[in-house]
Amino acid sequence: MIFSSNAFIFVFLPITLIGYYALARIGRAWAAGWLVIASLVFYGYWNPSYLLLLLGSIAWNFGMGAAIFAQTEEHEKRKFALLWLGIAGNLGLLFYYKYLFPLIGFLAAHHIAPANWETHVFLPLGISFFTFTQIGYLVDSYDGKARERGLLSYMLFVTFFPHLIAGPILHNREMMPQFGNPETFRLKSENISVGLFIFVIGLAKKVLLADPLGFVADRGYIDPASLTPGAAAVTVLGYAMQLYFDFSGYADMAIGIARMFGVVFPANFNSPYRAASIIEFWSRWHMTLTRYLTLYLYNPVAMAVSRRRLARGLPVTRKATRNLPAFAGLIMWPTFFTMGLAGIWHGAGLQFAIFGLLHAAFLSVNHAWRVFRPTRTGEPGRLSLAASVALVFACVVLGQIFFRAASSSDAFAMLGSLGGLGGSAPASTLGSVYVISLRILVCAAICLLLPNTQQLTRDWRPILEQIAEPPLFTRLKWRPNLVWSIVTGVVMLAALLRMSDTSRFLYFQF
Amino acid sequence: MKHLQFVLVVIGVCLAGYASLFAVGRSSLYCTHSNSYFDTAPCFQTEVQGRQVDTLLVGDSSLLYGIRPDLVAAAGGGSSYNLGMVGPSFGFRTSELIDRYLARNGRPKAIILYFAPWQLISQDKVVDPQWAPLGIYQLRYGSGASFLAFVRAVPAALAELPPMIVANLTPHSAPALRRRAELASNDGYLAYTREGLKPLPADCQPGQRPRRPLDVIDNRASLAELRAHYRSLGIPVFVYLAPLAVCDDEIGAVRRVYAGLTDNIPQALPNPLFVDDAKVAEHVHASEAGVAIFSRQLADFIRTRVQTQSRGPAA
Repeated sequence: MIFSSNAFIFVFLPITLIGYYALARIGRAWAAGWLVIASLVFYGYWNPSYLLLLLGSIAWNFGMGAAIFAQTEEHEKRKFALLWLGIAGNLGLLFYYKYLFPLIGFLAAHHIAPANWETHVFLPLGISFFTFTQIGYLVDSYDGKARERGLLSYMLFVTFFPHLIAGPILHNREMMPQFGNPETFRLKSENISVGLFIFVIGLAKKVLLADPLGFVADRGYIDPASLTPGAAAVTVLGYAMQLYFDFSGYADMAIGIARMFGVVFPANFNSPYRAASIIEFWSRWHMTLTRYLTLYLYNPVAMAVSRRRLARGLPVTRKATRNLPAFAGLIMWPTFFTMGLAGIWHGAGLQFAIFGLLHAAFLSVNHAWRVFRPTRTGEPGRLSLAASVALVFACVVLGQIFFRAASSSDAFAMLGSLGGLGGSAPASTLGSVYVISLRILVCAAICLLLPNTQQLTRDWRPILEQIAEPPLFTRLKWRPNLVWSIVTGVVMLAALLRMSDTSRFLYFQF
Repeated sequence: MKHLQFVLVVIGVCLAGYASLFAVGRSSLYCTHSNSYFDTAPCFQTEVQGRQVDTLLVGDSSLLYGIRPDLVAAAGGGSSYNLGMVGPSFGFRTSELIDRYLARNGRPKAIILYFAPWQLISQDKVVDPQWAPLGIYQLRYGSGASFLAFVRAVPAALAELPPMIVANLTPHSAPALRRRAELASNDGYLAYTREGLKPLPADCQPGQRPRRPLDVIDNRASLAELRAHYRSLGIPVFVYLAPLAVCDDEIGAVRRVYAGLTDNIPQALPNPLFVDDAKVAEHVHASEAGVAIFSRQLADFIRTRVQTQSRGPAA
């Protein structure tokens, strides 16, 4: 079931909300149980047979977590083995569904594996997200950062439907205490109104902004080599806006729905196209994935490198990174390792690996700039800031070409078309140039100038993190008054009426 | 309290918006500004007036797009009016449609029900992918009770009809008016001109679209009632099953299921007489060549069966 569907908005969500608060009056366990059942229905609506997979994954991780908790300090090795066994189970599942068959296909295409081994399986919705969430839980159980709170709480943490399919990737430490707090289960009109507003913003982003540009990107990427530079530029810019509004719209909807149930989620986007450096970009884009990768990939690798250097008597301070080999070991290697895996996480094609490695290169250059440039005094000027934002955006769009293209050769073809080496299909083949340009400009203006969703609702604690003031329109804030209710109602109505031709969310494929 | 008011106003605005769109869907503005092919025929056929013909042809899109009354007349079938509709609307409100026609036009000597085999399925039992035009049709011409009955059969209609109405509306009335003019000048016939339509290849494969099973045809009783009702008014009713493409390879099943129900013998005709639009419907829509042949065949039927019986002592 997708959030932007009639079945979800008119049937599933109201029934689940009413049932949740009605049962919460009897007891928290009833409400939590109801939410778990509703979440399983939400997941099974797509393909009931994959419910078994989800439940199996939950049973495996809960069991492994319990086994890890049961180990005393003198059984450290066994505890460590259990952690890796648990992680291996998760990675095995992910490998089977995400990578095994593309790999066999690749080997068969190169006559390394027999052609009759080739087959396809449907990628279960959200498998990456619920697997990552649970690997994090196992690691935290091992590190003593997670507490065992019973199967029902664990199931609710994993299956809670607002985040189940495409994140945000939640951390057990920020969710489990909320599910254990009786206040979460109390019906408060503030939660419903704030949640509804955030949901409507997300729905509008998806339906009114992202989807119309999706048609442009889809057409352009069918045959990238045929495009003129103008058509290629329209395609990649259209996709940049589609991807942002699609995914951040989904995140807003997830945050809004969770809030209706009294649960506050972490932010997943914070106006990423305003970033003035690629490091800043990754702290604003898919923030929970960045946090996850930093915690569970980057930091362990960086610490391992540091330990090895310390063992060899080498310095590991920030100052030490001004030496090129140290910079390569302490910063570049963990960055390439993390971003390379992040790229492959998005898919089994070479284009995704290039996407990850490109960003690793951008990040390394950014780090090098910080480490090696002469010390700067004072704040950067407006022009310099605008140039930085434009440069970061150009790098991001370059990466997105590999992210979106069906293959690496298509991505290079798109780059060729941007450089004038493509065909003769003009931008008008993608639709009305005037309308597409206007859409892209409106989207860009929203990204760059307007407060984002959490900034609009900053008086009502929409997310777990602190929220910075918006750079412009600082007085623009949501309030539960008549003007905002009418505006929200009209936006919701417009989105509902355009929902009939809504596509699936882009991140469902991951 | 302010938060509760906020939620209620947001919901209220949406409900008011949906209610307004249902009202727009019922208004004449909708007919003059709908760009949907599905609305052209219902909007025009329910309002047609001042016609005086020998034979009233009533049916579905196989009739609307397949029979030209001028060709029927030229082949000796006399004057006729093509009261064809679109979508699976046949069998659901047919008698109401005929009554509307009879109230505004001269009395015909006979009525021929002309339809493709799949249209005799009770619509409340089959949620057809093409329910949408039927829903709008119900909204426009049905009573409140019949619309509610439709909504009970297809609950999604409540949420999905308003967006459909918005999607169909265009600020320009010219396309709808042009099609209405075409219907008026062609005695109800509308040329089937969907973009990219081609005749069905002679060596075609059966359509990919899942078939509606013929064995669920279950409104035989209402068909019998309809025939009896108009016969009692002195207008004999004939049932004529539209020809099928040999491509679909279903003529055996159709003849078996419809044995005793139709006044013609259902025919499977060469593929190029039909257009290749299996994504929209089974192969029942005539190509240009098909229109000429099907009209002539119908004229033969009228000459041999309808005119004979209408002139006979029973009439």
